[in-house]
Amino acid sequence: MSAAGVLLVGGSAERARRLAAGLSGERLWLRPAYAQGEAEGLASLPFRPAEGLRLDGLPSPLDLVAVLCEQTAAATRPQGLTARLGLMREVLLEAFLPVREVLRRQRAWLRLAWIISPTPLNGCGSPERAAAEAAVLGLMRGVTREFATRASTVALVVDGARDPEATDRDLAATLQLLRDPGSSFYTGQVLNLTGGAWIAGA
Amino acid sequence: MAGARPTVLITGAAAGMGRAHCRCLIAEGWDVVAVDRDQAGLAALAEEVGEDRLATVVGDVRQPALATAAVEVALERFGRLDGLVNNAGYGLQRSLLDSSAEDFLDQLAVHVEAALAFSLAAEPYLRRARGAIVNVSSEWALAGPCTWPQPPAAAYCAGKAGVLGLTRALARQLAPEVRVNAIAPGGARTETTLSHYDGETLARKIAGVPAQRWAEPAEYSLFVRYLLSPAARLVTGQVLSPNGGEVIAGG
Repeated sequence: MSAAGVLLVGGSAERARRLAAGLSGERLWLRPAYAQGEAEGLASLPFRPAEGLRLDGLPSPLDLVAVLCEQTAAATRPQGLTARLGLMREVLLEAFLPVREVLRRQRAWLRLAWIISPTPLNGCGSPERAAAEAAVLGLMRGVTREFATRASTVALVVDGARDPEATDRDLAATLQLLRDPGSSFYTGQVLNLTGGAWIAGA
Repeated sequence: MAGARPTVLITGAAAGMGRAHCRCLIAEGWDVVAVDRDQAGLAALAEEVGEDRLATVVGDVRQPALATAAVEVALERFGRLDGLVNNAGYGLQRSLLDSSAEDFLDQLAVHVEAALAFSLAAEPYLRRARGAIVNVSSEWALAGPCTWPQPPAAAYCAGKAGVLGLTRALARQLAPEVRVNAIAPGGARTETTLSHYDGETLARKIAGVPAQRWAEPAEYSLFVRYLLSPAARLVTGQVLSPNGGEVIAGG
């Protein structure tokens, strides 16, 4: 199994810690403002999309960037149109800025993974959350075409409300598979880890 | 006093597909409120179709207050609102590496935030009319920039894909009174699109489309008209992608 580095982006401290526990190699967590605290045993950098991004201390080379978009959206329940628009912007920037910075720095192949909820696919949830996470799917598809020789992409759909510990254990195992260069032909796809709760056409 | 004819509000109405939607729906018996920041384009549209059935609103859809103002125009002028077509948008072909946060946020603002603001402003009147919303996305939302030479366009893809998530959530939230669907068009022979390419480039792009052509804007209007009509009363939360076979996937 690869021992290159992992960049985790977003999510709660507990979630980041659980995911990191299932991933090998050096790991760095971009800790969002809403995370409220460090994840024990996991190196982290604060990350506020509105303030831009500095990636000091990035493991090199990376073979996995995993962005926890669904945790971001679930963390806040904004009221009013302005706040709802603010949530969409934050989710999209959190999904975009770290990936851009890593692709600017690194030429070696890596796996880019965005973890989203079923909301953008089944519409169960708030419009702003569905729109923001669907935009992440569009970002994933655009990145797939532009960087096909340098990066493989995937969007992983998880329902974090169902047994979070088991979900994160399965998610980490799936990410371990996908960061193997042998899986690089699997790209631009949406992979559901929802236990069959969401079965429908693409 | 509600008018006898159904009324639809269309954003990005001054040119291209939006203008085609206006023509098509007026011909079909709708009254139309056309919204665009291009004042001259709206004036030209009014001159073409006449002002009996058309009201125009000049403004930038990125300003949320415009949505409320446009809905008020519909009610004052025609007394009702039955349909909303969130059509305003623009393409951005730029490498991810050169894309700024502002690029991404503007794509989100024009395509998603505007559609949300107009939908919320129109919601009570659409519920009353048991109306429909049609959001305009792109085949690139479904497959990335699939058209030769596959130009980088991650920010645009994000914006247009966001429209699809919004469509699905609003379809659930506004049901059963209001249906919400999207179209994800392929290539369109609009003045703007055609001006971007020389003849050879355009020919190569079209060669990659199984149908061997791009559609006229009016062809997409037929799908908008259908989704607004009672014939589509069982259709909500769906994406129709007329694209000449350029994107064939799922099932």
